[in-house]
Amino acid sequence: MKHKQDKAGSSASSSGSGGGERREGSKGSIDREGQIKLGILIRRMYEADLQKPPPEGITDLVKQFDKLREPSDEDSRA
Amino acid sequence: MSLDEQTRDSILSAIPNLRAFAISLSGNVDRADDLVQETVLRALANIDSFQPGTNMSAWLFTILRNLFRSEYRKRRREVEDATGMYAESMKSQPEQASRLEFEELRAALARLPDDQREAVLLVGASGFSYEEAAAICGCAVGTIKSRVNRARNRLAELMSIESLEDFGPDQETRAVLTADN
Repeated sequence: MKHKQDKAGSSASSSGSGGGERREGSKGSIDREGQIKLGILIRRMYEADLQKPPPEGITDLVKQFDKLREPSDEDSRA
Repeated sequence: MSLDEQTRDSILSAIPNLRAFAISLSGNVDRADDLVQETVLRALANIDSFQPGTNMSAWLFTILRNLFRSEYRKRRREVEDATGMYAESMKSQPEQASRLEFEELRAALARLPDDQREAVLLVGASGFSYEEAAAICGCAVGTIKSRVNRARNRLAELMSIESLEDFGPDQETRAVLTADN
């Protein structure tokens, strides 16, 4: 999977402040720095979750799919 | 029907990303595991409908997202707690310094509407383009952009984000992001 690191902190919703200060008490938009901070935090949280190994049962479902679906030779002969 | 090696490997490699997405989406690790397992089961049961050469990860995310919307939304109230029970259940981060920030972010994410949460996670965390996220969510690209924008603003508001300077030691990541203007 490709990761585009600056998605959450991209300029899609830039306030046009050029990285200036967050307006005091403003609501409804964040400036560039705020977007960067949020983007970094989301990515780091996600990366931390990625480090957690999934339960073996889930990966085994995929690894053993063919064994679960296809009869063994003995079963076929029987 | 059987899985060819490439298909099997592509599913396996997508599982950690699916799980990370599910954790943030559902707000609960156990529920996320159930969600991922159900996603994998459905994918395997319908593997014939997957078109080789297309994006396996996006296909799996679509299944997971639809499952969440159809089956898990009813449980959302369990997550939307303002008392901190949700954040408490997510205490599993390796970095002590980041834990509080992650918990704060998770609590803020839980307060977002489902459509905004999934949009900001797909684009901001999972690395999908706006176009891919729109395909996963079954909506227009402009809708995804709008949802991501609203999600960002709401998260920033909830978390009182003000300055980059007081945020974490991840200078390399910050440098990459600030350079991309």
